Amino acid sequence: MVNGEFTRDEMMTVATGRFIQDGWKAFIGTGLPMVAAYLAKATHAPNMTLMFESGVLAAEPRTIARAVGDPRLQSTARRVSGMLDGLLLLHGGNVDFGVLGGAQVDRFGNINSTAVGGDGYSRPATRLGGSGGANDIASAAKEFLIVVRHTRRTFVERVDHLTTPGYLTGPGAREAAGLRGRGPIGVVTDLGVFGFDETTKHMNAKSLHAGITWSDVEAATGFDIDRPDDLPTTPPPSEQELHLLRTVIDPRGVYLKDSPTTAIGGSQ
Amino acid sequence: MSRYSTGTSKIVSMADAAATVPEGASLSFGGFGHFGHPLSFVRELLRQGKGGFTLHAIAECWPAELLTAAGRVNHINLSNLMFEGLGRVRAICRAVENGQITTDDHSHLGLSLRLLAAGWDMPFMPIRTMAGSDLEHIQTGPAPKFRRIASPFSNEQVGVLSPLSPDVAVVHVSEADNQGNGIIHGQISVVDAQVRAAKRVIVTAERIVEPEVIVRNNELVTVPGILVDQVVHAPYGAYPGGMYGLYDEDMELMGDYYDASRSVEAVDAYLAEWVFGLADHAEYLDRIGSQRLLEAVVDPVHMLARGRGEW
Repeated sequence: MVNGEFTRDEMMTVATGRFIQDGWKAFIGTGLPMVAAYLAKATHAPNMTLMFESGVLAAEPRTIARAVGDPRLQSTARRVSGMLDGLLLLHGGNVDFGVLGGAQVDRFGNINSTAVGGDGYSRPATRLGGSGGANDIASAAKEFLIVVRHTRRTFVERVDHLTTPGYLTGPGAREAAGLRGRGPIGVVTDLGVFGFDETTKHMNAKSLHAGITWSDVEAATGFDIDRPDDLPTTPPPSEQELHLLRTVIDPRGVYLKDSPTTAIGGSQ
Repeated sequence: MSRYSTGTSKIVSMADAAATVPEGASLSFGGFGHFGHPLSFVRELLRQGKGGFTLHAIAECWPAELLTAAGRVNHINLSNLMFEGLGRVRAICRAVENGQITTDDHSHLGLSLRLLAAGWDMPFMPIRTMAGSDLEHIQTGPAPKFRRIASPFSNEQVGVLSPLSPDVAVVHVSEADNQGNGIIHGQISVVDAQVRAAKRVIVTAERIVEPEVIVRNNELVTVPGILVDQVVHAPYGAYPGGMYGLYDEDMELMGDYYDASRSVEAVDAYLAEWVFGLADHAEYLDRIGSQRLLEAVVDPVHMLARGRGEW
Protein backbone atom coordinates (compact mmCIF):
# COMPACT_ATOMS: atom_id res chain seq x y z
CA MET A 1 0.00 0.00 0.00
CA VAL A 2 1.41 3.39 -0.89
CA ASN A 3 1.65 6.26 1.52
CA GLY A 4 -1.65 7.89 2.49
CA GLU A 5 -3.86 4.96 1.49
CA PHE A 6 -5.81 2.92 3.99
CA THR A 7 -8.16 -0.04 3.92
CA ARG A 8 -11.84 -0.14 4.81
CA ASP A 9 -10.93 -2.21 7.85
CA GLU A 10 -8.52 0.49 9.01
CA MET A 11 -11.12 3.23 8.51
CA MET A 12 -13.75 1.25 10.47
CA THR A 13 -11.26 0.54 13.23
CA VAL A 14 -10.16 4.16 13.58
CA ALA A 15 -13.76 5.44 13.46
CA THR A 16 -14.73 2.93 16.19
CA GLY A 17 -11.80 3.91 18.38
CA ARG A 18 -12.81 7.58 18.26
CA PHE A 19 -16.04 6.73 20.13
CA ILE A 20 -14.05 5.37 23.10
CA GLN A 21 -13.47 7.99 25.80
CA ASP A 22 -10.63 8.05 28.29
CA GLY A 23 -11.51 6.52 31.63
CA TRP A 24 -14.37 4.42 30.29
CA LYS A 25 -14.97 0.87 31.49
CA ALA A 26 -15.92 -1.06 28.37
CA PHE A 27 -17.09 -4.45 27.09
CA ILE A 28 -15.47 -4.63 23.65
CA GLY A 29 -15.30 -8.25 22.46
CA THR A 30 -12.88 -9.42 19.75
CA GLY A 31 -12.37 -8.61 16.07
CA LEU A 32 -12.01 -5.07 14.69
CA PRO A 33 -13.56 -3.50 17.85
CA MET A 34 -10.76 -5.00 19.95
CA VAL A 35 -8.17 -3.55 17.57
CA ALA A 36 -10.00 -0.22 17.93
CA ALA A 37 -9.84 -0.47 21.72
CA TYR A 38 -6.07 -1.13 21.63
CA LEU A 39 -5.70 1.88 19.33
CA ALA A 40 -7.78 4.13 21.59
CA LYS A 41 -5.75 2.99 24.59
CA ALA A 42 -2.51 3.76 22.74
CA THR A 43 -3.71 7.25 21.78
CA HIS A 44 -6.50 9.29 23.38
CA ALA A 45 -7.88 6.84 25.98
CA PRO A 46 -4.94 5.39 27.95
CA ASN A 47 -7.11 4.94 31.06
CA MET A 48 -9.81 2.85 29.42
CA THR A 49 -10.57 -0.46 31.17
CA LEU A 50 -11.23 -3.61 29.12
CA MET A 51 -13.81 -6.00 30.61
CA PHE A 52 -15.14 -9.32 29.30
CA GLU A 53 -18.25 -11.37 29.97
CA SER A 54 -16.13 -14.30 31.17
CA GLY A 55 -15.21 -12.24 34.25
CA VAL A 56 -11.88 -10.94 32.96
CA LEU A 57 -11.38 -7.44 34.38
CA ALA A 58 -8.83 -4.80 33.29
CA ALA A 59 -6.92 -6.95 30.81
CA GLU A 60 -3.80 -5.38 29.26
CA PRO A 61 -2.65 -7.93 26.67
CA ARG A 62 0.80 -7.50 25.14
CA THR A 63 -0.37 -8.81 21.76
CA ILE A 64 -3.73 -8.96 20.04
CA ALA A 65 -6.14 -11.50 21.55
CA ARG A 66 -7.75 -14.04 19.23
CA ALA A 67 -10.84 -14.65 21.32
CA VAL A 68 -12.65 -13.60 24.49
CA GLY A 69 -11.35 -16.86 26.00
CA ASP A 70 -7.76 -16.13 24.91
CA PRO A 71 -5.18 -16.68 27.69
CA ARG A 72 -3.61 -13.37 26.59
CA LEU A 73 -6.51 -11.62 28.33
CA GLN A 74 -6.67 -13.72 31.49
CA SER A 75 -2.91 -13.70 32.04
CA THR A 76 -2.72 -9.87 31.95
CA ALA A 77 -5.92 -9.00 33.89
CA ARG A 78 -6.08 -7.47 37.35
CA ARG A 79 -8.93 -9.78 38.31
CA VAL A 80 -10.39 -12.98 36.88
CA SER A 81 -13.67 -14.45 38.11
CA GLY A 82 -16.59 -15.87 36.16
CA MET A 83 -19.65 -15.11 34.09
CA LEU A 84 -22.00 -14.21 36.96
CA ASP A 85 -19.48 -11.85 38.54
CA GLY A 86 -18.54 -10.20 35.24
CA LEU A 87 -22.11 -9.71 34.05
CA LEU A 88 -23.43 -8.61 37.44
CA LEU A 89 -20.75 -5.89 37.50
CA LEU A 90 -22.36 -4.80 34.23
CA HIS A 91 -25.90 -5.23 35.60
CA GLY A 92 -24.96 -3.06 38.57
CA GLY A 93 -24.33 -0.07 36.32
CA ASN A 94 -20.53 -0.12 36.37
CA VAL A 95 -19.94 -0.32 32.62
CA ASP A 96 -19.85 2.81 30.45
CA PHE A 97 -19.69 1.39 26.99
CA GLY A 98 -20.05 -1.72 24.84
CA VAL A 99 -19.38 -2.53 21.18
CA LEU A 100 -21.72 -4.99 19.47
CA GLY A 101 -22.08 -6.54 16.03
CA GLY A 102 -24.73 -8.75 14.48
CA ALA A 103 -26.24 -10.27 11.36
CA GLN A 104 -29.06 -7.73 11.05
CA VAL A 105 -29.62 -4.17 12.30
CA ASP A 106 -32.79 -2.09 11.91
CA ARG A 107 -33.43 1.68 11.90
CA PHE A 108 -33.81 1.71 15.71
CA GLY A 109 -30.49 -0.05 16.24
CA ASN A 110 -32.07 -3.34 17.25
CA ILE A 111 -29.73 -6.26 16.50
CA ASN A 112 -30.32 -9.86 15.43
CA SER A 113 -27.61 -12.40 16.22
CA THR A 114 -29.91 -15.44 16.63
CA ALA A 115 -31.89 -16.55 13.58
CA VAL A 116 -32.41 -15.31 10.00
CA GLY A 117 -35.15 -16.11 7.49
CA GLY A 118 -37.12 -19.31 7.02
CA ASP A 119 -40.21 -19.81 9.17
CA GLY A 120 -38.96 -17.71 12.06
CA TYR A 121 -37.27 -18.51 15.33
CA SER A 122 -38.12 -22.21 15.61
CA ARG A 123 -37.29 -23.09 12.01
CA PRO A 124 -34.96 -20.42 10.59
CA ALA A 125 -33.12 -20.58 7.29
CA THR A 126 -29.93 -19.74 9.17
CA ARG A 127 -29.37 -20.29 12.87
CA LEU A 128 -26.69 -18.10 14.47
CA GLY A 129 -24.88 -18.12 17.82
CA GLY A 130 -27.41 -16.24 19.93
CA SER A 131 -27.14 -13.32 22.34
CA GLY A 132 -24.40 -14.36 24.68
CA GLY A 133 -23.67 -11.22 26.67
CA ALA A 134 -24.85 -8.85 23.91
CA ASN A 135 -28.40 -8.42 25.21
CA ASP A 136 -27.05 -7.80 28.70
CA ILE A 137 -24.52 -5.24 27.42
CA ALA A 138 -27.08 -3.38 25.27
CA SER A 139 -29.56 -3.35 28.16
CA ALA A 140 -27.26 -2.39 31.01
CA ALA A 141 -24.17 -0.56 29.71
CA LYS A 142 -24.62 3.20 29.84
CA GLU A 143 -24.37 3.30 26.04
CA PHE A 144 -23.21 1.11 23.19
CA LEU A 145 -21.88 1.29 19.64
CA ILE A 146 -22.81 -0.98 16.73
CA VAL A 147 -20.02 -2.02 14.35
CA VAL A 148 -21.05 -4.01 11.25
CA ARG A 149 -20.31 -4.26 7.55
CA HIS A 150 -22.86 -2.34 5.50
CA THR A 151 -24.98 -4.49 3.19
CA ARG A 152 -28.67 -4.72 2.31
CA ARG A 153 -28.78 -8.12 4.03
CA THR A 154 -27.54 -6.53 7.25
CA PHE A 155 -29.44 -3.20 7.27
CA VAL A 156 -33.06 -4.39 7.23
CA GLU A 157 -36.48 -2.85 7.79
CA ARG A 158 -37.24 -5.35 10.58
CA VAL A 159 -34.81 -7.71 12.29
CA ASP A 160 -36.01 -11.32 12.03
CA HIS A 161 -35.21 -11.83 15.72
CA LEU A 162 -34.78 -8.96 18.15
CA THR A 163 -31.89 -10.44 20.11
CA THR A 164 -30.42 -7.22 21.42
CA PRO A 165 -32.38 -4.04 22.17
CA GLY A 166 -31.62 -0.79 20.38
CA TYR A 167 -34.43 1.72 20.73
CA LEU A 168 -36.96 -1.17 20.31
CA THR A 169 -40.10 0.35 18.72
CA GLY A 170 -38.98 3.98 19.13
CA PRO A 171 -39.00 6.84 21.64
CA GLY A 172 -39.77 5.77 25.21
CA ALA A 173 -39.72 2.03 24.48
CA ARG A 174 -36.49 1.29 26.35
CA GLU A 175 -37.73 3.18 29.38
CA ALA A 176 -41.06 1.31 29.25
CA ALA A 177 -39.20 -2.00 29.18
CA GLY A 178 -37.23 -0.94 32.24
CA LEU A 179 -33.83 -0.91 30.56
CA ARG A 180 -31.20 1.15 32.40
CA GLY A 181 -28.77 1.93 29.57
CA ARG A 182 -29.39 4.81 27.17
CA GLY A 183 -29.11 2.61 24.06
CA PRO A 184 -27.02 2.79 20.89
CA ILE A 185 -25.08 6.03 20.33
CA GLY A 186 -23.83 5.23 16.87
CA VAL A 187 -23.19 2.78 14.07
CA VAL A 188 -19.82 2.38 12.37
CA THR A 189 -19.77 0.57 9.03
CA ASP A 190 -17.36 0.27 6.12
CA LEU A 191 -19.33 3.06 4.41
CA GLY A 192 -19.71 5.67 7.12
CA VAL A 193 -20.58 6.71 10.64
CA PHE A 194 -24.25 6.87 11.65
CA GLY A 195 -26.20 8.00 14.68
CA PHE A 196 -29.79 8.18 15.94
CA ASP A 197 -32.15 11.15 15.87
CA GLU A 198 -32.82 12.39 19.40
CA THR A 199 -36.56 12.71 18.83
CA THR A 200 -37.51 9.84 16.49
CA LYS A 201 -34.65 7.43 17.39
CA HIS A 202 -34.32 6.73 13.65
CA MET A 203 -30.85 6.03 12.32
CA ASN A 204 -29.27 9.01 10.58
CA ALA A 205 -26.00 9.65 8.79
CA LYS A 206 -23.14 11.52 10.46
CA SER A 207 -20.32 11.16 7.93
CA LEU A 208 -19.34 9.07 4.93
CA HIS A 209 -15.88 7.55 4.59
CA ALA A 210 -13.63 8.92 1.85
CA GLY A 211 -14.70 7.74 -1.59
CA ILE A 212 -18.21 6.70 -0.49
CA THR A 213 -21.28 8.35 -2.01
CA TRP A 214 -24.83 8.64 -0.65
CA SER A 215 -26.06 6.29 -3.36
CA ASP A 216 -23.60 3.65 -2.06
CA VAL A 217 -25.32 3.95 1.34
CA GLU A 218 -28.83 3.82 -0.13
CA ALA A 219 -27.96 0.76 -2.21
CA ALA A 220 -26.70 -1.06 0.90
CA THR A 221 -29.54 -0.12 3.25
CA GLY A 222 -32.99 -1.76 3.40
CA PHE A 223 -34.67 1.24 5.07
CA ASP A 224 -34.59 5.03 4.75
CA ILE A 225 -31.63 6.45 6.63
CA ASP A 226 -32.11 10.13 7.48
CA ARG A 227 -29.66 12.26 5.52
CA PRO A 228 -28.67 15.61 7.02
CA ASP A 229 -28.07 18.60 4.77
CA ASP A 230 -24.45 18.72 5.82
CA LEU A 231 -22.79 15.32 5.37
CA PRO A 232 -19.04 15.55 5.94
CA THR A 233 -16.32 13.05 5.07
CA THR A 234 -15.16 10.94 8.00
CA PRO A 235 -11.73 12.24 9.03
CA PRO A 236 -9.28 9.68 7.60
CA PRO A 237 -6.86 7.73 9.80
CA SER A 238 -3.83 9.80 10.74
CA GLU A 239 -0.28 8.70 9.94
CA GLN A 240 0.19 7.93 13.64
CA GLU A 241 -2.96 5.78 13.79
CA LEU A 242 -1.96 3.82 10.69
CA HIS A 243 1.55 3.34 12.04
CA LEU A 244 0.20 1.98 15.33
CA LEU A 245 -2.27 -0.36 13.62
CA ARG A 246 0.23 -1.77 11.12
CA THR A 247 3.40 -2.04 13.14
CA VAL A 248 2.38 -2.27 16.80
CA ILE A 249 -1.20 -3.46 17.35
CA ASP A 250 -1.96 -5.94 14.55
CA PRO A 251 1.22 -6.33 12.47
CA ARG A 252 0.34 -9.92 11.52
CA GLY A 253 -3.10 -9.00 10.23
CA VAL A 254 -5.00 -11.18 12.71
CA TYR A 255 -8.03 -8.93 12.21
CA LEU A 256 -6.92 -6.20 9.82
CA LYS A 257 -6.79 -7.68 6.34
CA ASP A 258 -4.60 -5.74 3.95
CA SER A 259 -6.64 -6.72 0.91
CA PRO A 260 -6.34 -4.55 -2.21
CA THR A 261 -9.97 -5.35 -3.07
CA THR A 262 -11.14 -3.58 0.07
CA ALA A 263 -8.68 -0.74 -0.14
CA ILE A 264 -10.17 2.72 -0.10
CA GLY A 265 -8.57 6.02 0.61
CA GLY A 266 -7.35 9.41 -0.41
CA SER A 267 -5.87 8.51 -3.77
CA GLN A 268 -8.90 6.67 -5.08
CA MET B 1 -1.38 -40.54 54.85
CA SER B 2 -3.13 -37.22 54.99
CA ARG B 3 -3.92 -35.65 58.35
CA TYR B 4 -7.19 -34.42 56.79
CA SER B 5 -10.33 -36.50 56.48
CA THR B 6 -10.47 -38.30 53.17
CA GLY B 7 -13.87 -39.93 53.71
CA THR B 8 -14.94 -42.54 51.22
CA SER B 9 -13.24 -41.77 47.93
CA LYS B 10 -15.57 -40.56 45.19
CA ILE B 11 -13.07 -41.45 42.49
CA VAL B 12 -14.50 -43.68 39.77
CA SER B 13 -13.53 -44.58 36.22
CA MET B 14 -14.67 -42.43 33.32
CA ALA B 15 -16.90 -45.28 32.09
CA ASP B 16 -18.54 -45.68 35.51
CA ALA B 17 -19.20 -41.96 35.80
CA ALA B 18 -20.73 -41.69 32.32
CA ALA B 19 -22.86 -44.78 33.04
CA THR B 20 -24.71 -42.86 35.78
CA VAL B 21 -26.13 -40.39 33.24
CA PRO B 22 -29.64 -41.60 32.40
CA GLU B 23 -31.21 -41.59 28.95
CA GLY B 24 -33.12 -38.33 28.42
CA ALA B 25 -31.28 -36.46 31.20
CA SER B 26 -30.84 -32.69 31.28
CA LEU B 27 -27.15 -31.81 31.29
CA SER B 28 -24.96 -28.75 31.80
CA PHE B 29 -21.22 -28.70 31.10
CA GLY B 30 -18.38 -26.42 32.21
CA GLY B 31 -16.18 -24.61 29.71
CA PHE B 32 -15.92 -21.33 27.82
CA GLY B 33 -14.58 -20.54 24.36
CA HIS B 34 -12.10 -23.29 23.50
CA PHE B 35 -11.12 -23.86 27.14
CA GLY B 36 -12.13 -26.06 30.05
CA HIS B 37 -14.76 -28.29 28.43
CA PRO B 38 -14.95 -31.85 29.88
CA LEU B 39 -14.43 -33.38 26.44
CA SER B 40 -12.97 -36.72 27.56
CA PHE B 41 -16.25 -37.24 29.44
CA VAL B 42 -18.32 -36.19 26.43
CA ARG B 43 -16.53 -38.72 24.20
CA GLU B 44 -17.21 -41.50 26.74
CA LEU B 45 -20.86 -40.45 27.00
CA LEU B 46 -21.09 -40.65 23.21
CA ARG B 47 -19.55 -44.13 23.18
CA GLN B 48 -22.12 -45.38 25.71
CA GLY B 49 -24.88 -44.59 23.24
CA LYS B 50 -27.36 -42.73 25.40
CA GLY B 51 -29.23 -39.72 24.11
CA GLY B 52 -32.50 -37.82 24.20
CA PHE B 53 -30.71 -35.14 26.21
CA THR B 54 -31.76 -31.62 27.09
CA LEU B 55 -28.83 -29.19 27.43
CA HIS B 56 -28.61 -26.05 29.55
CA ALA B 57 -25.78 -24.56 27.53
CA ILE B 58 -24.25 -21.19 28.38
CA ALA B 59 -20.85 -21.34 26.77
CA GLU B 60 -20.14 -25.09 26.38
CA CYS B 61 -19.98 -24.97 22.60
CA TRP B 62 -17.87 -28.11 22.16
CA PRO B 63 -19.89 -30.55 24.34
CA ALA B 64 -23.16 -29.24 22.88
CA GLU B 65 -21.91 -29.46 19.29
CA LEU B 66 -20.46 -32.99 19.59
CA LEU B 67 -23.55 -34.39 21.34
CA THR B 68 -25.85 -32.76 18.79
CA ALA B 69 -23.69 -33.91 15.86
CA ALA B 70 -24.19 -37.49 17.08
CA GLY B 71 -27.96 -37.00 17.29
CA ARG B 72 -28.14 -37.23 21.09
CA VAL B 73 -29.88 -33.92 21.83
CA ASN B 74 -33.60 -33.00 21.71
CA HIS B 75 -33.65 -29.51 23.20
CA ILE B 76 -31.15 -26.78 24.13
CA ASN B 77 -31.74 -23.91 26.54
CA LEU B 78 -28.91 -21.67 25.44
CA SER B 79 -27.38 -18.23 25.60
CA ASN B 80 -24.58 -18.47 23.05
CA LEU B 81 -23.17 -21.34 21.04
CA MET B 82 -20.46 -20.56 18.50
CA PHE B 83 -16.81 -21.34 17.94
CA GLU B 84 -14.70 -18.27 18.69
CA GLY B 85 -12.35 -17.54 15.81
CA LEU B 86 -13.93 -20.27 13.64
CA GLY B 87 -17.63 -19.60 13.20
CA ARG B 88 -20.98 -21.32 13.66
CA VAL B 89 -21.60 -24.58 15.52
CA ARG B 90 -22.80 -26.15 12.30
CA ALA B 91 -24.28 -29.41 13.57
CA ILE B 92 -26.44 -27.52 16.06
CA CYS B 93 -27.41 -24.89 13.48
CA ARG B 94 -28.29 -27.61 10.96
CA ALA B 95 -30.40 -29.48 13.52
CA VAL B 96 -32.33 -26.29 14.34
CA GLU B 97 -32.79 -25.36 10.67
CA ASN B 98 -34.04 -28.89 9.90
CA GLY B 99 -36.42 -28.94 12.87
CA GLN B 100 -34.60 -31.86 14.53
CA ILE B 101 -34.04 -30.04 17.82
CA THR B 102 -35.76 -27.20 19.63
CA THR B 103 -34.12 -24.28 21.40
CA ASP B 104 -34.97 -21.56 23.89
CA ASP B 105 -32.68 -18.52 23.87
CA HIS B 106 -31.47 -16.43 26.82
CA SER B 107 -28.83 -13.83 27.49
CA HIS B 108 -25.70 -15.09 29.22
CA LEU B 109 -26.76 -13.43 32.45
CA GLY B 110 -30.32 -14.71 32.14
CA LEU B 111 -29.35 -18.36 31.79
CA SER B 112 -26.67 -18.05 34.47
CA LEU B 113 -29.21 -16.58 36.90
CA ARG B 114 -31.74 -19.35 36.14
CA LEU B 115 -29.12 -21.89 37.23
CA LEU B 116 -28.28 -19.81 40.29
CA ALA B 117 -31.98 -19.59 41.20
CA ALA B 118 -32.10 -23.39 41.19
CA GLY B 119 -28.86 -23.63 43.14
CA TRP B 120 -30.11 -21.23 45.81
CA ASP B 121 -33.59 -22.81 45.80
CA MET B 122 -35.31 -19.56 44.88
CA PRO B 123 -38.71 -19.56 43.10
CA PHE B 124 -37.45 -16.82 40.78
CA MET B 125 -34.58 -14.40 40.27
CA PRO B 126 -35.04 -10.75 39.24
CA ILE B 127 -33.16 -9.37 36.23
CA ARG B 128 -33.17 -6.06 34.35
CA THR B 129 -31.84 -7.35 31.02
CA MET B 130 -33.66 -9.51 28.39
CA ALA B 131 -36.71 -7.21 28.82
CA GLY B 132 -38.24 -5.82 25.63
CA SER B 133 -36.35 -8.19 23.34
CA ASP B 134 -37.39 -11.45 21.71
CA LEU B 135 -35.54 -13.22 24.54
CA GLU B 136 -38.57 -12.12 26.57
CA HIS B 137 -41.21 -12.46 23.87
CA ILE B 138 -40.30 -15.87 22.42
CA GLN B 139 -40.53 -18.65 24.99
CA THR B 140 -40.23 -22.12 23.54
CA GLY B 141 -38.82 -24.14 26.42
CA PRO B 142 -40.66 -26.85 28.33
CA ALA B 143 -41.17 -24.31 31.14
CA PRO B 144 -41.61 -20.51 31.04
CA LYS B 145 -38.35 -18.62 31.57
CA PHE B 146 -39.22 -14.91 31.91
CA ARG B 147 -42.16 -13.04 33.41
CA ARG B 148 -42.70 -9.54 34.77
CA ILE B 149 -44.00 -8.90 38.23
CA ALA B 150 -44.69 -5.82 40.34
CA SER B 151 -41.89 -5.14 42.76
CA PRO B 152 -43.20 -5.52 46.33
CA PHE B 153 -40.90 -2.67 47.41
CA SER B 154 -41.31 -0.02 44.69
CA ASN B 155 -43.67 1.04 41.93
CA GLU B 156 -41.72 -0.66 39.17
CA GLN B 157 -42.31 -3.78 37.13
CA VAL B 158 -39.33 -6.11 37.13
CA GLY B 159 -38.40 -9.11 35.01
CA VAL B 160 -38.05 -12.42 36.81
CA LEU B 161 -36.51 -15.71 35.68
CA SER B 162 -37.61 -19.20 36.60
CA PRO B 163 -35.10 -21.65 38.13
CA LEU B 164 -33.45 -24.23 35.91
CA SER B 165 -31.92 -27.36 37.38
CA PRO B 166 -29.89 -29.81 35.29
CA ASP B 167 -30.10 -33.47 36.26
CA VAL B 168 -26.32 -33.69 35.93
CA ALA B 169 -23.57 -31.06 35.76
CA VAL B 170 -20.19 -32.18 34.44
CA VAL B 171 -17.27 -29.83 35.05
CA HIS B 172 -13.56 -30.14 34.33
CA VAL B 173 -11.14 -28.74 36.92
CA SER B 174 -7.39 -28.27 37.20
CA GLU B 175 -7.06 -30.11 40.53
CA ALA B 176 -9.43 -32.00 42.81
CA ASP B 177 -9.11 -34.14 45.91
CA ASN B 178 -10.90 -37.45 46.18
CA GLN B 179 -13.96 -35.67 47.63
CA GLY B 180 -14.33 -33.46 44.56
CA ASN B 181 -13.11 -30.18 46.06
CA GLY B 182 -12.04 -28.61 42.79
CA ILE B 183 -9.70 -25.78 41.82
CA ILE B 184 -10.05 -24.11 38.43
CA HIS B 185 -7.20 -21.80 37.43
CA GLY B 186 -8.35 -18.84 35.36
CA GLN B 187 -11.94 -17.78 34.80
CA ILE B 188 -14.60 -20.24 35.97
CA SER B 189 -17.28 -19.45 33.39
CA VAL B 190 -20.49 -20.40 35.21
CA VAL B 191 -19.30 -23.52 37.04
CA ASP B 192 -20.19 -21.98 40.42
CA ALA B 193 -23.89 -21.87 39.48
CA GLN B 194 -23.88 -25.16 37.54
CA VAL B 195 -22.62 -27.29 40.45
CA ARG B 196 -25.11 -25.66 42.83
CA ALA B 197 -28.04 -26.09 40.44
CA ALA B 198 -27.51 -29.71 39.40
CA LYS B 199 -29.07 -32.72 41.10
CA ARG B 200 -25.84 -34.65 40.52
CA VAL B 201 -22.32 -33.34 39.93
CA ILE B 202 -19.49 -35.14 38.16
CA VAL B 203 -16.01 -33.58 38.39
CA THR B 204 -13.29 -34.57 35.94
CA ALA B 205 -9.82 -33.39 36.98
CA GLU B 206 -6.44 -32.90 35.34
CA ARG B 207 -4.79 -33.95 38.61
CA ILE B 208 -6.03 -35.75 41.70
CA VAL B 209 -4.28 -34.18 44.68
CA GLU B 210 -3.93 -34.81 48.41
CA PRO B 211 -6.25 -32.82 50.70
CA GLU B 212 -3.18 -30.82 51.83
CA VAL B 213 -2.94 -29.26 48.36
CA ILE B 214 -6.59 -28.21 48.48
CA VAL B 215 -6.28 -26.85 52.03
CA ARG B 216 -3.18 -24.84 51.13
CA ASN B 217 -5.10 -23.19 48.24
CA ASN B 218 -8.56 -23.30 49.78
CA GLU B 219 -9.46 -19.78 48.63
CA LEU B 220 -9.22 -21.06 45.04
CA VAL B 221 -11.73 -23.91 45.46
CA THR B 222 -14.60 -23.19 43.05
CA VAL B 223 -16.29 -26.58 43.35
CA PRO B 224 -17.26 -27.48 46.93
CA GLY B 225 -16.78 -31.20 47.46
CA ILE B 226 -20.02 -31.44 49.43
CA LEU B 227 -21.89 -30.95 46.14
CA VAL B 228 -19.94 -33.58 44.21
CA ASP B 229 -21.03 -37.16 43.56
CA GLN B 230 -18.21 -38.56 41.46
CA VAL B 231 -14.61 -37.63 40.63
CA VAL B 232 -12.75 -38.85 37.54
CA HIS B 233 -9.02 -38.48 36.87
CA ALA B 234 -8.81 -37.09 33.33
CA PRO B 235 -5.39 -35.69 32.34
CA TYR B 236 -5.73 -33.63 29.15
CA GLY B 237 -9.46 -34.03 29.75
CA ALA B 238 -10.30 -30.82 27.88
CA TYR B 239 -8.26 -31.73 24.79
CA PRO B 240 -8.37 -30.76 21.92
CA GLY B 241 -9.53 -27.69 23.83
CA GLY B 242 -7.17 -26.01 26.27
CA MET B 243 -6.94 -25.80 30.06
CA TYR B 244 -5.81 -22.43 31.37
CA GLY B 245 -2.35 -22.56 32.94
CA LEU B 246 -1.70 -26.13 31.71
CA TYR B 247 -2.08 -26.53 27.94
CA ASP B 248 -3.30 -24.57 24.93
CA GLU B 249 -6.14 -25.53 22.66
CA ASP B 250 -5.13 -27.50 19.55
CA MET B 251 -6.57 -25.27 16.84
CA GLU B 252 -5.46 -27.65 14.10
CA LEU B 253 -7.45 -30.56 15.56
CA MET B 254 -10.39 -28.30 16.36
CA GLY B 255 -10.19 -26.97 12.83
CA ASP B 256 -10.37 -30.55 11.53
CA TYR B 257 -13.73 -30.93 13.27
CA TYR B 258 -14.87 -27.52 12.05
CA ASP B 259 -14.06 -28.45 8.44
CA ALA B 260 -15.82 -31.82 8.84
CA SER B 261 -18.92 -30.12 10.24
CA ARG B 262 -19.77 -28.77 6.78
CA SER B 263 -21.53 -32.05 5.97
CA VAL B 264 -23.36 -34.76 7.89
CA GLU B 265 -21.24 -37.45 6.23
CA ALA B 266 -17.95 -35.83 7.16
CA VAL B 267 -19.11 -35.31 10.77
CA ASP B 268 -20.06 -38.98 11.00
CA ALA B 269 -16.62 -39.93 9.69
CA TYR B 270 -14.96 -37.59 12.21
CA LEU B 271 -16.91 -39.09 15.12
CA ALA B 272 -16.15 -42.62 13.89
CA GLU B 273 -12.45 -41.81 13.83
CA TRP B 274 -12.03 -39.70 16.98
CA VAL B 275 -14.78 -41.04 19.28
CA PHE B 276 -16.28 -44.41 18.37
CA GLY B 277 -13.06 -45.82 16.93
CA LEU B 278 -11.19 -45.34 20.20
CA ALA B 279 -11.85 -47.47 23.28
CA ASP B 280 -11.27 -44.84 25.95
CA HIS B 281 -9.46 -41.62 26.89
CA ALA B 282 -6.09 -43.38 27.17
CA GLU B 283 -6.40 -44.58 23.60
CA TYR B 284 -7.41 -41.05 22.55
CA LEU B 285 -4.26 -39.59 24.12
CA ASP B 286 -2.13 -42.32 22.50
CA ARG B 287 -3.61 -41.31 19.18
CA ILE B 288 -2.72 -37.64 19.75
CA GLY B 289 0.81 -38.63 20.76
CA SER B 290 3.11 -37.40 23.50
CA GLN B 291 5.02 -34.97 21.29
CA ARG B 292 1.89 -33.08 20.36
CA LEU B 293 0.59 -33.08 23.95
CA LEU B 294 3.92 -31.71 25.23
CA GLU B 295 4.00 -29.00 22.57
CA ALA B 296 0.66 -27.76 23.92
CA VAL B 297 2.03 -27.24 27.45
CA VAL B 298 1.99 -23.54 28.31
CA ASP B 299 4.79 -21.28 29.42
CA PRO B 300 4.13 -20.52 33.11
CA VAL B 301 4.53 -16.75 32.67
CA HIS B 302 2.75 -16.16 29.38
CA MET B 303 0.19 -18.96 29.84
CA LEU B 304 0.56 -19.77 26.16
CA ALA B 305 2.42 -22.61 24.45
CA ARG B 306 5.37 -21.85 22.22
CA GLY B 307 4.52 -21.86 18.56
CA ARG B 308 0.90 -20.78 19.11
CA GLY B 309 1.34 -17.17 17.98
CA GLU B 310 3.37 -14.37 19.50
CA TRP B 311 3.25 -13.74 23.26
